[in-house]
Amino acid sequence: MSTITDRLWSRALWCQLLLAVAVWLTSSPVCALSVEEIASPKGIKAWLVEEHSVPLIAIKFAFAGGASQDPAGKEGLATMVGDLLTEGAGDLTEEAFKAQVSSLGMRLSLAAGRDAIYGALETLSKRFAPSAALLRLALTAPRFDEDAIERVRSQRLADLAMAANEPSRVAVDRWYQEAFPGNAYGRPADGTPQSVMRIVRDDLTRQHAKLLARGVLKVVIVGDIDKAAAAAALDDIFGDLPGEGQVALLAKAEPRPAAAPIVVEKDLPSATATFGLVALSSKDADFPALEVLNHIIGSGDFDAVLTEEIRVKRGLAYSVQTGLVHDSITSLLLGAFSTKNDTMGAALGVLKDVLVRMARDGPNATQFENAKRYLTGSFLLDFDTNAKVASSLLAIWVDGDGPDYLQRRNQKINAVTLADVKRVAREVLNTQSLIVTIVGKPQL
Amino acid sequence: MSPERSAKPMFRASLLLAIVIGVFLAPPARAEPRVNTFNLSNGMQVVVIEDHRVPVVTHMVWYRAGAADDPWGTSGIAHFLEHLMFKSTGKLKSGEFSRTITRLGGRDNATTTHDTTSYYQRVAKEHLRGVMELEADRMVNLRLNEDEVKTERDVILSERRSNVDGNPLSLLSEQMLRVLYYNHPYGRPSIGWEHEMAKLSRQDALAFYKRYYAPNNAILVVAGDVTPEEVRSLAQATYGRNRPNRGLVRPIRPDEPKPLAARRVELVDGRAGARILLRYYPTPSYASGPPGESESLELLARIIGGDDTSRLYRRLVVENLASTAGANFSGQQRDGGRLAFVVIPLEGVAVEKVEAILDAVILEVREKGVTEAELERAKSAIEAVRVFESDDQMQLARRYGEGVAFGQTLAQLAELPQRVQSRSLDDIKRVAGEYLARERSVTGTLLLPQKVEPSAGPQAVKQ
Repeated sequence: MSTITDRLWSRALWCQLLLAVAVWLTSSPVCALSVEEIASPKGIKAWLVEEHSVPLIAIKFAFAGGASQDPAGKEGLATMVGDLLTEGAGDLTEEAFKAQVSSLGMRLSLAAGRDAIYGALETLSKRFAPSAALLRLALTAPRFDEDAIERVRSQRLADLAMAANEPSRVAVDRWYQEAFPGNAYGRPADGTPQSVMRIVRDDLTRQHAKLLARGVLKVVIVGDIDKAAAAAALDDIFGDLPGEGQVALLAKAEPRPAAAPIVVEKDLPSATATFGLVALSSKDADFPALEVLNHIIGSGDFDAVLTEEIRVKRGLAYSVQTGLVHDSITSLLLGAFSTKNDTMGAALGVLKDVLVRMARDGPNATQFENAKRYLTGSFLLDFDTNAKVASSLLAIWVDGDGPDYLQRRNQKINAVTLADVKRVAREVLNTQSLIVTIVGKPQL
Repeated sequence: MSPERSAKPMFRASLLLAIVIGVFLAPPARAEPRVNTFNLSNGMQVVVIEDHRVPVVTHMVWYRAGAADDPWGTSGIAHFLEHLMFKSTGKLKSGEFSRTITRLGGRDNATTTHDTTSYYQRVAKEHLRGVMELEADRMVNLRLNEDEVKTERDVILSERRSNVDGNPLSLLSEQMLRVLYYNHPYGRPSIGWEHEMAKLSRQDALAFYKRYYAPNNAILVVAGDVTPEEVRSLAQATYGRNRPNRGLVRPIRPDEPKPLAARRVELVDGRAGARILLRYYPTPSYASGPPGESESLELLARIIGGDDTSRLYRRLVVENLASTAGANFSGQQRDGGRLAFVVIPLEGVAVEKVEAILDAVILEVREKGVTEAELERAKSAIEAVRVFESDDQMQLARRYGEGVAFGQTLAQLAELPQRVQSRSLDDIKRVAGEYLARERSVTGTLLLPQKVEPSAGPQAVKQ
């Protein structure tokens, strides 16, 4: 029959339709993704994208707070709370709970980050109801059984031992420690062996009650589900959580500059560096210009200035990249690369030269135009799977933007001028405030 | 975009059609994608996977040549050539390929495995033709100069240092694979041995390029917001102009002899964060084995060590002997696959102890098979994973590109879910008995030196 062409046509035409409307009204061609703000009967808000072409539903959510709320001396508490949510809940023992998750073939993850406890559920739409029921149980009635606590503690201690030998992780942890002394951000989010040993069951149940509350919750639902079912699911899953928890969000803070690179000495064949500067918040009017600048310097593409200078011209590193990071306390431009121990000094020299040159001269017109074209043209590429759509939207929401960001974002980038980028380069690329941490035995 | 004059009528027509077709006849959700294939007259096979959710396409070219085809003594050349493919052609300056993709707002990269070398780009659909012209150009017009080759060689050496030499577990695995394969080049690392990589030359790269890079040794996969008809006409206008390599000879890949002796590999490395036990067994792959065999192995691996309900997890992690315990089946190779088991014992627990339990779990499955409940759970989980993959253009394109490169038909690839569902308890028991025999195995242990050097510990932080 003709269902094949029907399906094809309907999709193609919807795109054209939305494109036409978009071009007409806003001249911003973002098509086929319509985000709706919904609220459940109990008042839980969510962003919904209905997408019925693949029989899947993805839910991603964040409870603001996370590891930043760990009491001093109990670092790693939120991480363990996150781990233990899927270690048995309600009447289901750990084994019974996991057997159900496994039988449903659902993907369920709950994990603490520095600023939030993040959750994700992906499941076949035909198995949505039982999958959602398990998620509800995990969030509202985790058992925190003593044997599960001991098992998770052992796993965390083993992970810490492994992480201590992963150069890139050590370099990043050391970077935050150096930049934010005395701040919750300067403490390791996953804890230390000593702090993880100190955590007891009461700490876990108390922190669970503090952190998992509707008042700090943001939810995105994407997939094969309609509005009414999505609203009902919100109440089913999250409705029994307390309205307000006890989250004290951290105050803003600036990184403390370090004059010389901080070296964590390890006997390794190559040295791994993390470098970073304070940058602009996503709400700053100049943030789009910073996005353009960051792309020009450190996208990691062959076009990027750092890749050109460090990899292509000199073969010093396989990859060098920078990114813009929005932490709750500040916004950063962070980068990383690895090189041979004896070429670390040279590579750092090249890095600093690039930053100084960019601060002084800014990019040229070609670099500027190319970056804008990439940033606007590639925007849709992050929206091609239900799970990615959900993650991207959640990140937009957590950063404080609305669903109309999808429409406005490319306009903002298009409005950036070369003069804007040069101004931002002068402002941000201050090598005096650069903090570098290196793991290895570098020659500097 | 067109001015108002033409936009308005189109908009009205679209609106009407969209309402009629799009809203009232909303298509049902489908688990399996719509896939078509055809050949160009120069022998290049084309696969089109339709996904009309967003106006984006994933474009991939797969060459049926990978690291297992590196001539002896030049290990790493397939991967090195992959890097050099981003240098110049007659039309493009060095680096211009990626630069152009970036300017189009696209992303690109490439991957070398033992069996294939693949190049991909993701772009808005209107740029598909431009991308195809570029990829068709570098299939036959690559130019390399000595200086660029030397600099890029430093890059691959740096890649090896970061990804392999700096990672004790990667090193252990590399040493084990060399012992797992008696005869087949799967035993050589795809990135290459360092001493051979250091000597790779422009001539080595060009020889490999001339031998294997041709339309009749390549597969084009386009996934996304396109129709087979569109792709056919674009492919003919671009790749269709490249002449086939009439003298193309696929190299002989030697078969493996019957393994007779269990082997052990021990790596002592002060940089390791933990002691690790790794175990490999050679198996058939989806492409090399009889239908259903790999599906059975996939289910077997899942039941023994696929998630927290698996036998290894229950016996080792739940019993507080290990922080990690799992199993994995790699079936995506042309000439053979591999079952892998990994255990990370907790501090104070002897590696010998967890190895004895691993052996006991394996023996139990070989002798008694698995339970009906375990098999049903594993089938259900694999069904879901398949649908998750179908949500992702890149993964779909990879599934079909790789499968076709290994000689599988679209029908064979599409019927995998049914083959998984039809596996029986007897099938699982039989493959466990056949492939998990002790004499076929290589066991690797990553150990810490007796006395940890001060420089290797995290306590040596310099302020």
